[in-house]
Amino acid sequence: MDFARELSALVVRSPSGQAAAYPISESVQRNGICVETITPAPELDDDHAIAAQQLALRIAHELGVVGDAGCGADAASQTGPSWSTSLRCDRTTPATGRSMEPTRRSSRTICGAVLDLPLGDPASRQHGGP
Amino acid sequence: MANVFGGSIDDLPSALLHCFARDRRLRVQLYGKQVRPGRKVGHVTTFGDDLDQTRKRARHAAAYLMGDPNA
Repeated sequence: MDFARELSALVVRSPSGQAAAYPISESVQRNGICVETITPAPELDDDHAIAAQQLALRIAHELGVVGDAGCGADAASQTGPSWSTSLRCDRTTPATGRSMEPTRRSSRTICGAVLDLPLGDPASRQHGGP
Repeated sequence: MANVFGGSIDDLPSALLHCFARDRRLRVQLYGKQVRPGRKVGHVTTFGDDLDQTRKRARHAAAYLMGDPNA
């Protein structure tokens, strides 16, 4: 199948079940290697974005993830990602500092999740932000 | 976010000076790995209001660290 683009949903979850979902990212692949990501994914409507976040949160919850988890989906068309196809989920070592974190607060979010402290704000950093 | 792959520059920390002098909104993570062609050695993140400009800034920094100052 000739996929139009690849999207991913990143969530964090704490031992007690607190969770936060980051804005959906688009990853740009070249020769099978991720060269760039864009967050939030351009031209993704809210319904699909929220559905993807909910799916990632559900997967993290059912797997009992502590720390951060990423789910990827290949979008067969630009506007209507087919989340059920080619779903991948991985658990990453928490707080490695190597995640594709768009915000400074994200580190706090992931550390907070591992330690079960209040989670930070997963919103993308905006112009003029901290 | 733009990934940095090993290119023609071995001393990535020194190359950062150019990147940070040019763009104050960059954040760069270098993994401390030995540079080998094509090996993922770091990534650049930044943010902004204009998507095209933001991508261009991230790509420039990543390309510079890969040894292509004209990207």
